[in-house]
Amino acid sequence: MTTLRDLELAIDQLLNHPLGMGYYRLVRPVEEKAYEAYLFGLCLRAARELGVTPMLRGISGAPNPFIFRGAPGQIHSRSRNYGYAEFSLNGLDLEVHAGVEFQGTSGMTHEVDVCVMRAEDARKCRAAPDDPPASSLIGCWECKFYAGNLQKVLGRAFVGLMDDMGTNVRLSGLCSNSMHPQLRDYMKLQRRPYPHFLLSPSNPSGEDIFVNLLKAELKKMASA
Amino acid sequence: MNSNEYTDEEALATLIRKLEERDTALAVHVQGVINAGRDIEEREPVARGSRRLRTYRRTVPFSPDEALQTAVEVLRAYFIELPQIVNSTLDDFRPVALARPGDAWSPFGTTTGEEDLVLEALGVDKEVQIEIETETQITPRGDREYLALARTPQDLIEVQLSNLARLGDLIASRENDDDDAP
Repeated sequence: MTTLRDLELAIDQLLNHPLGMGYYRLVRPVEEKAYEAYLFGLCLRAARELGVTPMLRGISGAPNPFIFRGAPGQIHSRSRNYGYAEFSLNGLDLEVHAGVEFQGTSGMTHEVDVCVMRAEDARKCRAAPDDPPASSLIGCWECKFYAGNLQKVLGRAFVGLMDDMGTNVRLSGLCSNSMHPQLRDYMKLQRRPYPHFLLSPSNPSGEDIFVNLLKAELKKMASA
Repeated sequence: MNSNEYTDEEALATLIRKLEERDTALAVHVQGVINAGRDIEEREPVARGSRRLRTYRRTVPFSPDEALQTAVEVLRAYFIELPQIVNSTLDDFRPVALARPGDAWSPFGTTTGEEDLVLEALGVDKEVQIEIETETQITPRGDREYLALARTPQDLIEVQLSNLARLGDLIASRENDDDDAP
């Protein structure tokens, strides 16, 4: 028969482990951004599986270290050497960004957690500082790391964001390691973003779906 | 037959207390997830005496056993999923080239679109950082400007997985009994 002391010891063992409370306190301030970085990496994976080698770039020089923004920012910001990725597919130049603000069709700007966009528009906005237009977006994804049930408001908010991005965006999705049963129903309508729920390294089939959807769309765009 | 000396309520109270002792924010978060309850489907006759049933959604509290399982899943997200997510990111950065500007590179681009770039570090780990203090932040200034993503050895993750499994066993080792039936 297990005692309360046994339970306490098991809890202590879990919390005292290097991946317990110490790790939680270390990563907690950036858990959302760490999840965005993971989705950024999946976009790089999609490009590589199409046979191209993406390049990591920094706005002000070599991205060493590669810096992810801690808050939404402008694509042209040089306050730090923020990183992005670039690749070319059949002559189509594209970039991958995280945490960059885009101008919606209404004129309001929106942060896009992770996106693939036309490199030409990105270069113009870096050269003559401006927010890139929604029409430069190929794919955009809202990323939420959540310990617990995903909040329904996130789905509604992202649908609203995508509504202001116009009809040119070819791929969009709400990505999370978590899920909410009603959000899956909300997202299943035809023109709503794809629900990439329970998306994490412990769900390889979920990762494959994300990567393959992006690959398919890029191949179609580039006639690859 | 109960194989534990403690009830589910006692186990849950112990877990929450242990979390509170170490980090109030995490304890509050776990408690918040538990307090959100869960949705169930209820059925009732469409009218009195009717045999046709209608279904409606109802939000109910977790049972203590369900609350324990939920708390463990929250801890799994932080203690297992997050390090796996970081490892995956670093894995996806490794096979990608790092573009270092050459001598003729200009940060303002070129009229031809061609850039002088040297590609390097293909197939090696990259240093990846996430800002903690953002570009517009002036107060408060903490002791860390950024977090460098670090790879977690797989054996460390495996040990923590077994710790989590052990905890799961201890909170699930009560067999179904009728004491919990309404």
